Amino acid sequence: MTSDGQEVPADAGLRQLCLSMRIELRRFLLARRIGEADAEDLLQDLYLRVQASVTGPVRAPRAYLYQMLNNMAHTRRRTELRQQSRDAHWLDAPAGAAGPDTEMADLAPDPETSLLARDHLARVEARLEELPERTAHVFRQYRVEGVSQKAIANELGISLSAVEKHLQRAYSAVLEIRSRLDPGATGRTGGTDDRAR
Amino acid sequence: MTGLAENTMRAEAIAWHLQLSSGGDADWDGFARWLEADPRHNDMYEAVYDADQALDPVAELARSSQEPAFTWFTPIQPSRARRWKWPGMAAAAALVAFGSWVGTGGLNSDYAVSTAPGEMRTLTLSDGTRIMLNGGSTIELDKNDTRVAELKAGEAQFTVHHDAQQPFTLTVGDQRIVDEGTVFNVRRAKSALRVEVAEGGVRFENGVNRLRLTAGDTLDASESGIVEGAKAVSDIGGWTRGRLVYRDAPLMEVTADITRARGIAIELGPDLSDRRFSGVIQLDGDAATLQKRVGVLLGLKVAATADGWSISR
Repeated sequence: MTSDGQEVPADAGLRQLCLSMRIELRRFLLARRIGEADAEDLLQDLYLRVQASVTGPVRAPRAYLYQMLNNMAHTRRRTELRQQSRDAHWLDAPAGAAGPDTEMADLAPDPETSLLARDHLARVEARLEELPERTAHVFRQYRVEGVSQKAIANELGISLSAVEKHLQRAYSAVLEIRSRLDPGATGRTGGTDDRAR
Repeated sequence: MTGLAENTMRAEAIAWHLQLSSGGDADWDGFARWLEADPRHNDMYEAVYDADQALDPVAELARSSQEPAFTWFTPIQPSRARRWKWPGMAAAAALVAFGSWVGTGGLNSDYAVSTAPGEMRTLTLSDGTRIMLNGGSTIELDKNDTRVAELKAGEAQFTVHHDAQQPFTLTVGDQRIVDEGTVFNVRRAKSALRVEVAEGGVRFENGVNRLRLTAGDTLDASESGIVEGAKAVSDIGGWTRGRLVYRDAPLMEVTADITRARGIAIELGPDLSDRRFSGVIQLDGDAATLQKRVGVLLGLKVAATADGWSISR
């Protein structure tokens, strides 16, 4: 019986923390180049989400809130960009194409998407082959198999910072492919719609 | 365009992106300072974030692709997955060392509690420690000493009443898990032990090594060695809340969990032994509902047989 009670204070504590960190979190959002009004909006959203989604005790509550907010800021920015490009394509788009369900449609894998993924995979694969075997292995474990950096370090018997170095090197190589594929990917334009042609 | 400054910035953005995936408080403070130092930093970070996210379908494809042309799969070789080896001699010595401790059965104050597959039980010890026993499990307790227990088989979650003077100690074979104020989940399969800490910390001992695990840490111990890992705390002990959470888990593990929790014997097609699953399985509903749900989630055929299910492509 006692353990059921533990989750409530953890949850309420997180909401409390959300309020007491408000100024610091707002400053973070501004550093993430979110506008003042949007920042307020996101903070409110964060508070509601914490209420709705956290079910168990959280290990590092401050970092947890930052993580959530950081992801939300990213999603907000992407949605905005998508909106902008949708507005830009408004005139040539068939009626209804820019409706509210476009976002859902974006998430569904269609033949074209998987073709692009296949092409992307082949390029990534080729690039990884140019890297030292261990670097490629670490990257695959981390990005494809979803193994944590700590677990990879244990698996290979190397330090965490060595794992980071491998990943840094692999990411530099692999993410570059993306920018070549889609010249708009670097900087503010972002690559929201590879499939827009 | 790709000047030195930009390359440096990009490398920094990647480093932050990697670090933040498991970042602590200090990392976020440092990240905020880095962002504030130069307005271009955020653009670079967003570009890295976008590009990494664009790899999601690629990674998905690599994971599911059966085409041999794609050589993404580099299964962990058992021999490489070892953090350290534990020589037979040392293991034998450990058995001797703990022999007297484990063999308290002679005092006759021990008693065992067992559950049938599909049956769960909650035991509350007199000091307030709570043990949730999953189906198909056996635990041995001592009437005269509530601070010791031995998991003989199966899985249990422990919410321990902490007493620093007299820590609660769980024995699994010749390994011990010593509570340091905690909620933890332990699963014992044939020769493998898995410990997951949801809250607080435990000390793991096997007579050769001692390791400290805190919330979010996991440990797999088998005869070939020990592998440490991490798991979201909210996913730990999901079975006690009627849901099983997996991230890239072997299908064998998934079916064993369902068998334990619901008492359904499951036969897995031989060609599925190395298949993996990520997702959440709700355990509620009747067997037919569960059967349908599992089929949809795994994307496989789940057929009812005389004594359970058979899963195939």
